[in-house]
Amino acid sequence: MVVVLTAPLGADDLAQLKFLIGRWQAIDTAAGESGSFKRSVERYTARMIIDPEEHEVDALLARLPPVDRCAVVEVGCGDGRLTRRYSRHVGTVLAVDPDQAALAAFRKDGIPGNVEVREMPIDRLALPDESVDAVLFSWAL
Amino acid sequence: MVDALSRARRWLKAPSGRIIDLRPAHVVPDVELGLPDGSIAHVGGLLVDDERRQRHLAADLAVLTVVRRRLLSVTGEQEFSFYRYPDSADELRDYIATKWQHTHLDAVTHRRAGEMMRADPDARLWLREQVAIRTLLPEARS
Repeated sequence: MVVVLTAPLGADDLAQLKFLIGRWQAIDTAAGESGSFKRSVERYTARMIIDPEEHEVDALLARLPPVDRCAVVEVGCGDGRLTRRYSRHVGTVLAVDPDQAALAAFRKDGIPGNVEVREMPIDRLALPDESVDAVLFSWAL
Repeated sequence: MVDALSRARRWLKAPSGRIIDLRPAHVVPDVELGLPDGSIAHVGGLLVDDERRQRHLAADLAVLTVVRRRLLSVTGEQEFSFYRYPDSADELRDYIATKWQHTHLDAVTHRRAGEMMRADPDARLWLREQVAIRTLLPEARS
């Protein structure tokens, strides 16, 4: 399916469009200079459509510290659903989770180049003091 | 959980390092149906085991504890609705059974969702979870 957009979309329009298409494979939208947002291509392979409105990633991005090449530790990355959505906006992500099956699903679809995945609980994670910009507890506390 | 937050605090760079806590704000997610006229029908809530309720309370208590100990302070909190859209009541039931622990779609809600969707084929089924996100800053830096 090819969708040609003749006008910039707002966030609500985009969510509606994604839903109308249903099991969408990829949507790449770019607003003009005044629109100031660009959503890159994403791929859904699961049947369930999860947060097409992108409320979650928008809320997260608004809270990351305003530093260049932000270094993030994500605790409870699971299958990388959220990691994929925000990782392109930060410098590096160290994504940890003790769930072997979830991490296997993450690796199956390819891990973004700036993301390192480790299979372990947080209490086994050893990092230098004052070495990261943000620690995200991702549905993990 | 208190230990996890304390460890994470040590890893944060000064002056802007922060912890971001993202998790459900409410214990019970809602099954809803969006109708073509724009209205929303509440189908039911998921069945939640005590384990999930206790974990939810423990997470809140952990945040409260690190704040009381003046390790971290909560600088902002926001809630939003997080939606999952299945094709059918069966798909929703199977998804929850496969992906979630301590949470179930009960037979009554499952049947009601199926009946409502058959009665209105243009209706849209979803699972809505109220989610909270908060920023925690090391107390000495806040």
